[in-house]
Amino acid sequence: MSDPYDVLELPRDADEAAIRARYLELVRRFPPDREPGRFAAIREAYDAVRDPTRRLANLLFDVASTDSIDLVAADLRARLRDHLDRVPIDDLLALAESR
Amino acid sequence: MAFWRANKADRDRKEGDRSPGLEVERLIEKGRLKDAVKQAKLRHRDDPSPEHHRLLERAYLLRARQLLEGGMASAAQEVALHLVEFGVTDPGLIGPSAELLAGVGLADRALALQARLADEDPEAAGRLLRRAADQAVLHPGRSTGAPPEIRSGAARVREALDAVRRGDEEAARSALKDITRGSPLGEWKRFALGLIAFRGRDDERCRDAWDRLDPDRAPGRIAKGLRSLDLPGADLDAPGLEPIERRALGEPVLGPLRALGSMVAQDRWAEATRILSSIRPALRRIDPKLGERLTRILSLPLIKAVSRLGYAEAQRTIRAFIAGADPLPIDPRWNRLWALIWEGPQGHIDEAEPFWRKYLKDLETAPGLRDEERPTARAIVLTHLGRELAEEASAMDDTPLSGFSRIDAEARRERKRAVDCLEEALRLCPTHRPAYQALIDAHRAWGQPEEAAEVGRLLLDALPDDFDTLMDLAAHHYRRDDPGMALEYAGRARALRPLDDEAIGQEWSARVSLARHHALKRRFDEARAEFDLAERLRPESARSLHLLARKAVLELKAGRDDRARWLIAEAEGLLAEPSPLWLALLIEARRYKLPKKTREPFERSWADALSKKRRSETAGALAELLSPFLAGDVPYTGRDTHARQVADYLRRTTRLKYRREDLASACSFLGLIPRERKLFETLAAKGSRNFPDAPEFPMMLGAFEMEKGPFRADLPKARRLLEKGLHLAEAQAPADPRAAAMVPKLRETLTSLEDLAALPMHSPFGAFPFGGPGSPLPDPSSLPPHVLDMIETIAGQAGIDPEDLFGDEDEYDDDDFGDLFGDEDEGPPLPPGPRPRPPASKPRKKKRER
Repeated sequence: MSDPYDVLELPRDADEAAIRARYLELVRRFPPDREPGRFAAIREAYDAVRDPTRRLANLLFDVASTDSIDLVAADLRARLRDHLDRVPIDDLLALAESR
Repeated sequence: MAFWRANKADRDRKEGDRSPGLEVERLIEKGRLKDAVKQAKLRHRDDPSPEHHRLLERAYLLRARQLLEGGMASAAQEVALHLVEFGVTDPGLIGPSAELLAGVGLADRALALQARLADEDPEAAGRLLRRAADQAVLHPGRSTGAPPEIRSGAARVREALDAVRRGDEEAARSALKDITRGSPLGEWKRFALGLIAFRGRDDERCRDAWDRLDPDRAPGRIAKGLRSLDLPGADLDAPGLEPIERRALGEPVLGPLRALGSMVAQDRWAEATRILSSIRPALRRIDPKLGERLTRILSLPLIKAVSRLGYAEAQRTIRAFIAGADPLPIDPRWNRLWALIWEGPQGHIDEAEPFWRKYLKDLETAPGLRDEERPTARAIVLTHLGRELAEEASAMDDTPLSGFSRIDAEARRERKRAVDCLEEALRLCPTHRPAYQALIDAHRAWGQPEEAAEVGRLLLDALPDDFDTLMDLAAHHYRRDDPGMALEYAGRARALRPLDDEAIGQEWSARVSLARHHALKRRFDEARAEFDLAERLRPESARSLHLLARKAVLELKAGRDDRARWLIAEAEGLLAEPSPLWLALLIEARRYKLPKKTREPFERSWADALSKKRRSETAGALAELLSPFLAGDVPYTGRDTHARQVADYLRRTTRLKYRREDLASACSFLGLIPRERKLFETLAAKGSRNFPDAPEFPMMLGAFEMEKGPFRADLPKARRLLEKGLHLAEAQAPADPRAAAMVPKLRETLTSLEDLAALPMHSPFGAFPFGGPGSPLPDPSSLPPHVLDMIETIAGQAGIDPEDLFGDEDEYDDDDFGDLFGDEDEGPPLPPGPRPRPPASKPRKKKRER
């Protein structure tokens, strides 16, 4: 099975309310009658993280991370995109001459 | 210095005298273009020939290009002006010179120069205008030579880009309105429209606009850099983002992050931790959670990396990491990390325990937990620690030194530590099931089934509907020949899951066992009633050899010989050859305590059967009949003799043609008798050969190889066999339930194999002095003195000769067979057919050899 937090697109420290809200949101997006495979994966992931004790045990002992430095870099690039208003026009245009 | 320069110029001139022009070429080749211009000027001054003129033109051109590419646009413009004033006479340099002039903002000069080649390259003027347009947008101050319409268009483009930056889309579109798509500035219009979409996160429109840009022009290059930010499918390594990072994030972090990833991938942790320390403040400023995120990402690679290092280097690496990284909110003092490292593949629980204890204190205040979570979190950690300590205590039981009082006393202390830990977990969280289960597993591993059952009962007090525990307790009482209690727990389990096949089987077993108890107390009607109820649970069992034999024996005990004969005849009709029936009747006659006189005909028939011609079907049936008594360790008088007789029977069937299921039964049976290893391997290999698609044979052979232990097992061979079995089972699982049932078992066995292969070998951080798992036992003379000292000390304390620890690996004594061929006594029944559930204990992971 894939990492349940990845399937639910949740951070590992998400609390019970956040997990339930995301589960309901995903079920609305991928209802079982239209996307049975996707729904089954979502349901399985939800079952894996909904139990607070199991979730806590994962938090304390699961050191394997599906996150990566590349993903951190991708997030930072996304932040750059969001903050382009802070970049003067000449700095933007300087990209044309970077090697 | 002046003297040196004069000398150098003099030397250069002398060299030039020897080879006019060659010296300039040499300097050009070396990239010393400033010197090349100087030399070419000297050549031209001394001899203003057309050849020297062209040489100087070329030197000017190359030098100006070099300056432009180096970002010194003003200097490049100055050199380009020298070139124009000097005059371009080489026809081959006219085009490149015009391009250069346009590139440094001297578009008017460029167009004038290019006009000389108008007939040869009619498109050159358009190219120069586009270049001039790019320069006018990028460097309006340096583009005074550009045509006025380009300069005004470029100003509108810049106005539009600034409006996009501010988020004023309307102003941007308005500024771009008069720029036509075909004009030299059309590319910039497309770029600006794409930028509007980019800022609005409209990736499709952005792609539409930017995919059509010329990658060699400035807008295309800028777009490529921006797309690397996060547009799907974009080049993630686009250079030149540093100024943007500096503006948007405060300082560049993407480059260092890339370097960090590279260092970690190469296990260069000293460099990695230096980079981590250097970007930590910047990351904190951008987002305080980023540092924690990196710690989470790097923890596992770090744990793996240090397990391969020597002790001192590992300590240094961990300390450097801790100094440079942000702690996690659930591990504010890094005690969890230390504990995990110390109990890792090369560590030991004794070293990890102090850190776990400190971590338990940390959990009282750790910011990553809510107050209501703290007791459960501590119970989880205590359960983990308790499990590890319990495994350690079990490992001490398995050591060659067990049985010596000093070692046993230590094992008892370890057990107490484990139990204390787990009981503390239960005090903190009385419904924490894993802690109960850990206690149950530990007591089972220590050979304390009664204590395990007691914990099971406590678990049911806290969690009354725990199906697995109900089933385990049913099996426990069944094994203790207490079918009444077994039936009670099985009934509760069935009430929870009425259709569960295992629960039905457990109740069936309990009822059949209860029938024997009634029969022994001469309550024959009650016994018959239990058989009826068992048949209702499993209607197909009514026509099974096992049940018919039991019922026949019951009737013999009740004095109803006519009914017994009828039942025996019915059972005989099920078989091609009656030998298994005689054995079944003989077994049950003993378990039902029939008088010797009543048993004698069955014993004679069985003895006759053994002397008859061998049949593979009979071999399979006999093995299937006897296996449950061995697997469940259910004794009855004569069991070991029967096992030996059946093994002898099988020994003489190795050349017979077998059906797959009979051969599998025979192998399963032989796998339960340590003395019959060779015969097992012969028949299992025959199965693998004759039934190459059957997963059970490689599975049995692989598991058998593993059982030889870390030093004697050929682990690569075991892995090959298990992987082959898994591959076959997975392929057949959709159509064959037996194969489907093998898949989880094979996966679990492969996981155990990984554990075995990663066994810690005497050193906390790597550097295993022996050959590793699967290697032969080490020669004592090859061991490092400190390891040998340690072994000798321990052995001496226990009063044994250390050399006995390195004995012949092929030797084993009768104790290896357990009680199988030892004393025989009457014991609890075991119903063939639906077999009772074996104790549900997790395969124990040996932490290390002692």
